[in-house]
Amino acid sequence: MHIKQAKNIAWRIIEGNAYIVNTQASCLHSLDETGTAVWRGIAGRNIEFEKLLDKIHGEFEVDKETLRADLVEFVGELKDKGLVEVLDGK
Amino acid sequence: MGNEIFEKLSRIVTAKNIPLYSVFELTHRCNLICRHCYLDSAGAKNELPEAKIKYILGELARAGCLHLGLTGGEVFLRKDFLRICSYARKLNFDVRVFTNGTLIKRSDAQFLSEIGIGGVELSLYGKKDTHDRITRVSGSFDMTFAAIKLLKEYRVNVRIKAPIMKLNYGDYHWLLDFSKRLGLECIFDPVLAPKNNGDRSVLKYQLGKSGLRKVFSDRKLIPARPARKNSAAKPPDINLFCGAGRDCAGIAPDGTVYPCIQFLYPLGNLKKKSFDEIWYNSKRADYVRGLKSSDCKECFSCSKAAQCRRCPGLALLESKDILGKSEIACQLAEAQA
Repeated sequence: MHIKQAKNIAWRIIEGNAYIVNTQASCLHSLDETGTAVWRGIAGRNIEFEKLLDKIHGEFEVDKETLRADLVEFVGELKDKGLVEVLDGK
Repeated sequence: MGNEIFEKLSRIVTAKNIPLYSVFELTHRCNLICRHCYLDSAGAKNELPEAKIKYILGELARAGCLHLGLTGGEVFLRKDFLRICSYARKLNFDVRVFTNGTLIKRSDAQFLSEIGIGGVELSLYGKKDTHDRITRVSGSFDMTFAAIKLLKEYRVNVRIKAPIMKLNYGDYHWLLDFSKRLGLECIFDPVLAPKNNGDRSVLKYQLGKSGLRKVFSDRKLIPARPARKNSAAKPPDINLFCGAGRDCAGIAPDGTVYPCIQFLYPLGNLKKKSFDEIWYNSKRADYVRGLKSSDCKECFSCSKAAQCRRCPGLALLESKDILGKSEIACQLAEAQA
């Protein structure tokens, strides 16, 4: 599974939090510190899920399987908000 | 939730003077000759080259600018315009393009869609005859309309912008219906600005008292807006300044940085200094940010201050004084009273 920033997305990290706009919907989202770390891993890339997991695991002292479950859920939320595209099998 | 996020972000950018909103004028050249235009022909020289513009966009991105307006003159007169747009999108700006649309080709509309542009705002003044009379270019309505159709075909967000003035006053209901039929948002503005060089001749087209009253009483046209913060204002809560120079920056084609493109108080020039130096280390920027409503002696004590939409840029153009009175704002406040 690959994850990439969706097409109509604009964003900035301001004071440690990511602020993300879906420009088609003119909708503003913000991420907390952990979410922002994940966003840094995704934004501007087409990243394989396991690589993203390794990257985030390197930044936070959390059990990897717990992190995997949390990351799957979080990526799902980003997808539902139209902020990322999830590409299967690429 | 969206509002809470917006309010939190607004508080941060205002406190830190982060230029979240910036408008970059890429050229003052234009292929139309609109009767009410605020640009003067002297400004059509000394445009920044593409490489410098891209460098500045990088500086703006690092400074925290998210919403970027690219405007002119007519931006499509620049041969490098689409490359500039594309670069801005690579830097993850929310890019809005302000154009008359007359030069937009099918391939341009497709390209803007592909790079994920936030939207295109087109100037349209009324029916064909009215529009062409204002632009002084025969056929300009048809060209702008063709651009609207192309952009819609490629699912680009389109917004129509129209000043309401004596020249098109009779057409505003038609414009509303036209926009509605096409499923487009239409933004009306009853304020005309003097030319950037101070020439006030264009103000002869500004609506008079009765026209303004009619406009402000038509909620289809201009939805009721609360006055700036604290509408039941006692004098200390009156706000006669906006985000210009605080969370909003304007850049002219020659690289001059202003608090806003309508607020012509130069803070510095990007040919000589970096954006950070100008924005964060200039006495002129500090001066603008330090201005308080109570510094505007005459306006602060005015009975209509709470309703006033005073634009400090227009006040400066009209009275040559940042703290001065804006006659246009006075007329609007009176019409809304």
